Amino acid sequence: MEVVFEVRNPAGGIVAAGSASTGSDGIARKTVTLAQDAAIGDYSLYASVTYQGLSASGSILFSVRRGSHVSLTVSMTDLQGNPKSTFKPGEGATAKIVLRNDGGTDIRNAHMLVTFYDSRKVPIFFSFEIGDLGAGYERTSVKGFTLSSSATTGTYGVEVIVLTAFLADGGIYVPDGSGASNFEVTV
Amino acid sequence: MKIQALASLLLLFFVPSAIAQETLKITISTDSSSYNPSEAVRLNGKVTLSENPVGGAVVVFEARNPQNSVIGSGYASTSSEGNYGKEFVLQSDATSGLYTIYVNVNYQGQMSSAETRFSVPRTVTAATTTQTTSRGNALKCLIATATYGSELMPEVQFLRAFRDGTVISSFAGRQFMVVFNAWYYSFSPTVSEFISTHSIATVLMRGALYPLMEILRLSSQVYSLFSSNAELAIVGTGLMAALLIGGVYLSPLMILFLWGLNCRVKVRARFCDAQNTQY
Repeated sequence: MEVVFEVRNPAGGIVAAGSASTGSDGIARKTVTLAQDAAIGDYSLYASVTYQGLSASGSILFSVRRGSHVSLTVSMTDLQGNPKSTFKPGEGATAKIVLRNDGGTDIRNAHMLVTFYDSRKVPIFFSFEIGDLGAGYERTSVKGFTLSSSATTGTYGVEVIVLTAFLADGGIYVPDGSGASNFEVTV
Repeated sequence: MKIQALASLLLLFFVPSAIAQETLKITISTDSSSYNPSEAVRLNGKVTLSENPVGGAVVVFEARNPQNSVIGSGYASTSSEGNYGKEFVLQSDATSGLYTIYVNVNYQGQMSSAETRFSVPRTVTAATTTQTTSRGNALKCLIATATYGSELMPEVQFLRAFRDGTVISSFAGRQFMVVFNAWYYSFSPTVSEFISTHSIATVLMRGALYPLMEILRLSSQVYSLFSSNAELAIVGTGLMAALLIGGVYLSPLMILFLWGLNCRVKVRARFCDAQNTQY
């Protein structure tokens, strides 16, 4: 038999409607995908069925909330903050990291881990920063180090990840909280 | 009655979304359990959601040295088959001991974490290197592999790392391993074959090995306390492990033996009493 349903957003507008047939187990299944920019709040799902002249209906509420979500950009600069992609041994190499909390909730004690790798993928410099990041706020950090005077030439890289805590302490990755940038070291 | 049936049907309509909880899972392994300084460490793993591969997920990792300091971090994306890989190279002056790699994936509101360990052995002479640290000829933990099902299981990797990173990092430890290997490999191939072909034996061995794993984990902590002196550290570690292993595995036998002895004495005493009464 056909079960008819509709999903209404917090403002009462219909965001999905349709029907689903019951299987041999008497269960009707239907998947509804909410839009990326779906409104936050309480949604209602109404369903009804008519069978042999009898009808029944029911409803249920569910909430849509936005989890932690950040955007992250990483770029290499000189010590004055000017964009730079090529460095010489002995020079200071700096990564400018712009972190923005695009989620609907504040992120307490956001851990930003920054690792620089040389051309052989040896981690040569690690740094981290811990701080709160309010919803909608943006923070710019600068992490850098001085290349060894005997630094090998080639393509170096910096990788940044954002966590709720160190992974060793049970931290988890904050969605989209990762970014990287490469730079060249030449003589 | 029909209305009730319809109401039940409507209830079922909503239930699947509540009970069909999908489980996100991440695995991690390294391509070896032991690396020398300047060697590349290759991480591999897979992300699945209810056993289906998850493509396009970001996996983050954090690598820590034996002193528990972060030595590196980064991320990788999963392929359409759910696999991910990452490589980094150990520093030329990497300290010896156990390293830990932590990984985490956060996908569609679900999280999963995993960790693995590898060792960096203390620099040893060429003569002893061939004994256990040569990657191609690394001696296998046969019984543990049969018990846990794979060389890549964390328990097996821990045992190998404990051997390669802790025990053989000292002269005393290497001498111990020579004797131990001669004894262990005299019977382990037969035992491991039996375990791998009998599921009940696998279950029993997992239970039997559990205390050993915990004892070795505790002992490795003792080692790290005295790691500045490898010989002292391995002797302390060995003594502690031996005491705990003896206590855990032999005490039930000792209790049984003493109980049996006590019973025998009592029976004999009763017999003597009975004989005395007759006279």
